[in-house]
Amino acid sequence: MEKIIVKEFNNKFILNKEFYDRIGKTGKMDKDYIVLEPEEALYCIKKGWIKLEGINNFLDFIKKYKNILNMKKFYVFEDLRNKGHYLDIENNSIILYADYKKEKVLYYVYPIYENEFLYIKDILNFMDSKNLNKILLAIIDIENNIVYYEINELFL
Amino acid sequence: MKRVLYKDNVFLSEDKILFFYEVLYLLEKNEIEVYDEKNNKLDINYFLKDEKIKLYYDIYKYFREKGYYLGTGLKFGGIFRIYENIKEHSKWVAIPININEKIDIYDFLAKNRVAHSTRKRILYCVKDNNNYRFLEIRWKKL
Repeated sequence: MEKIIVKEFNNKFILNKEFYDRIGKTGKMDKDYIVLEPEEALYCIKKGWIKLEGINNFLDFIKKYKNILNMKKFYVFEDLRNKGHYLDIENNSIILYADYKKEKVLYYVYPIYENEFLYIKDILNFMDSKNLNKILLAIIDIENNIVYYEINELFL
Repeated sequence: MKRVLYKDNVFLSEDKILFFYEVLYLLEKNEIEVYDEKNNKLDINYFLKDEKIKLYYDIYKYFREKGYYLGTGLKFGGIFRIYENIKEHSKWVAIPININEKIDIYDFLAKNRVAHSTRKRILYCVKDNNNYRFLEIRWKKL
């Protein structure tokens, strides 16, 4: 199947909304267009669903957009999307939904590499900034496997 | 009033080692007296000078006064095990931590693996000045 041509605009990646199903319901609908975050666009490129002018492959995209790509978010997005979950990337967050309708949020995801430290204050700030009692911690190991933990604030 | 001997970093009553944080609690409540080997009387501030002991004691006291039962969490990789109901298995393995502390990911995973395998959950008890927040961790298969 022919790849869908995507255009970059202000660090977002735009394509016509008729292609929503062909890119696995990735991205956000904005009237006539689908808007992809860089990590979502990278996922679609890796899948071979879309192409961008001057970008021939996955590595080209990473090189060109290294300043706006967050690879931790990409790895988590890729892992969960490949397992059949539906997600959005929004500002600094990865949102995991209950299903393809993307109406019910299951978790906001906090990604971290195995060789980083987990700062308690950062976790609490992340939860407080979104008024959340629970989040999903995604620990990315050096073999690119991801283990998930729910962090649930209890009021004891 | 019951006399307790403090020797080699443990509290002794006759030939028995007493639960460290319960002794501190009873000491603060003036229900026991603690002496060292030279028969000097020790008050609770003597022990709470140690920041870790102070942090752990604050958490112990918080839960104890809310009616939970606590024991050592050593075998489960934490500081305390906490029971909601003493007739059942403990629910949480508590790890007191200051809000500005960081957690090593390897330590995080090891503790959670032990807790999960023993049907408990890790509970990070976060102290922020005089406030406490509690973060329960649960492995999630996705």
